[in-house]
Amino acid sequence: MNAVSDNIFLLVIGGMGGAILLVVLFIALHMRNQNRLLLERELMQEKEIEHQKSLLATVIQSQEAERRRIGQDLHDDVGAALSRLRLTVDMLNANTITPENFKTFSASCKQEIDHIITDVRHISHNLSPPRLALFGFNAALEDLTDIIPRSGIKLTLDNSAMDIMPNLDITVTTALYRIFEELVNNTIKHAAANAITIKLYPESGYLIMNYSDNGIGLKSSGSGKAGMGMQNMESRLSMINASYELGPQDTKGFSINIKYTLPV
Amino acid sequence: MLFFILYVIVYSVFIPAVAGSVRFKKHSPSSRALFYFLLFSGTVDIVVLQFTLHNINSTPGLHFYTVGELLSLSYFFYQIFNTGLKKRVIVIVAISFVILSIINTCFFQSLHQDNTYTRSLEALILIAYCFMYFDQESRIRQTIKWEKKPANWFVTGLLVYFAGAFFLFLFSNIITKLSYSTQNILWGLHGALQIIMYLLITAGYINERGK
Repeated sequence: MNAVSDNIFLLVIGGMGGAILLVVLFIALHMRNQNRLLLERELMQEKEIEHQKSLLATVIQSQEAERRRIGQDLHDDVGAALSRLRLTVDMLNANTITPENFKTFSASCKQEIDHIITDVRHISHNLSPPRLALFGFNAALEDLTDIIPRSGIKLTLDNSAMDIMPNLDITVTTALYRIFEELVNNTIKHAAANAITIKLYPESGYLIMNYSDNGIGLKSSGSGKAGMGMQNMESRLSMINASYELGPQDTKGFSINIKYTLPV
Repeated sequence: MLFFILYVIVYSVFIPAVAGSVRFKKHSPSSRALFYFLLFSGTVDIVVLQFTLHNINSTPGLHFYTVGELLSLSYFFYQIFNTGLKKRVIVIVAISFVILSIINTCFFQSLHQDNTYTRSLEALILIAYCFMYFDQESRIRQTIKWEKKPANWFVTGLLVYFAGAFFLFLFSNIITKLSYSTQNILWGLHGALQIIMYLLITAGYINERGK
């Protein structure tokens, strides 16, 4: 009887101890796991906030850069042309004026005024391409393909989404146009490429836009950190809820796939 | 040891009860449900203590206590679970348990012996509820740290107690045949588990007040 008592005692103690040990281990693991998940999520949120802040900073910086550029254009082109016009007017002496002089003076003034008109038109077109507002994305993109070959780069445009583009909101088409403009600018400035290919096509509810060049590629052209242009592009894409995917970076050339969900 | 079993354990219920009664109306429904369990458990323990002190057999009371404990804790889990299915399971299990307890008392274990079958079953059911709670917690998106959530402390306390005491409940009829000192050690351990449960519940209430 005594031996049996000891065994039961040990069995109960062992059972209790084992159960408590298992519970404590389970709780410790559960606690650690949940706190780790919470920490990871907090870190992710922090990163997201940082990213949003950096995008916002880029937008502000771009605005400032754009303002500086407009200011510079106005100062260098329009300002200089107006100064020349003033000088021409100053040079006209009322006492020595002859019909011949007046004819030259008038021609000179007209030339300067035409110059100013052209400059102002360039600046305003640069700010907001009139073809985009008047004739839509397709026409504006066609214009872009007319301009680029002047810089010695061959551009191939394959637009299979012509029917879709007019139905898109002007905000969306403007953003997409600006993105292409930025991509082309990057290629001209940094890629040392001689060919650009742009493809647009609809695919199962999405508008796919593929841009590629045969330049030195992203890895060779930069520090690996996204430049202001890329960040600008990212903020424009996030504004219209589109996503993008960069092509392989370890090969030559640059490519990007942009995916925009078409409205139902 | 006897003093510990008779008085310390019984009156330790006041620690979580006092912590839970502070700003009672501001507590969540589950915290309030657990407070009702503490009231029930504490009252029964004090009554049983008086019976013991006056040499009155309190074993029949254990049969009713088991049912009351399961029902009050089922109500606590009913408040804590977030799906209708789990709540329905609790109601069905609670009703089934009451029926099983009546059958057990009538046909298997009389009022004058420990209801080891139903008491162990009760512990198993509550252990299962505790795991269901932790499973539920793993599936939802947490916004605060584990230790800042009062329900985690409450359920941990219940899990430690019921998992630890399960074997004791299972063998309690055999334990009564052991020597008096051995019984004291085992019931002392049971009391220690009860105090741990109360302290963990207190930690939960303190956390709830801090929110």
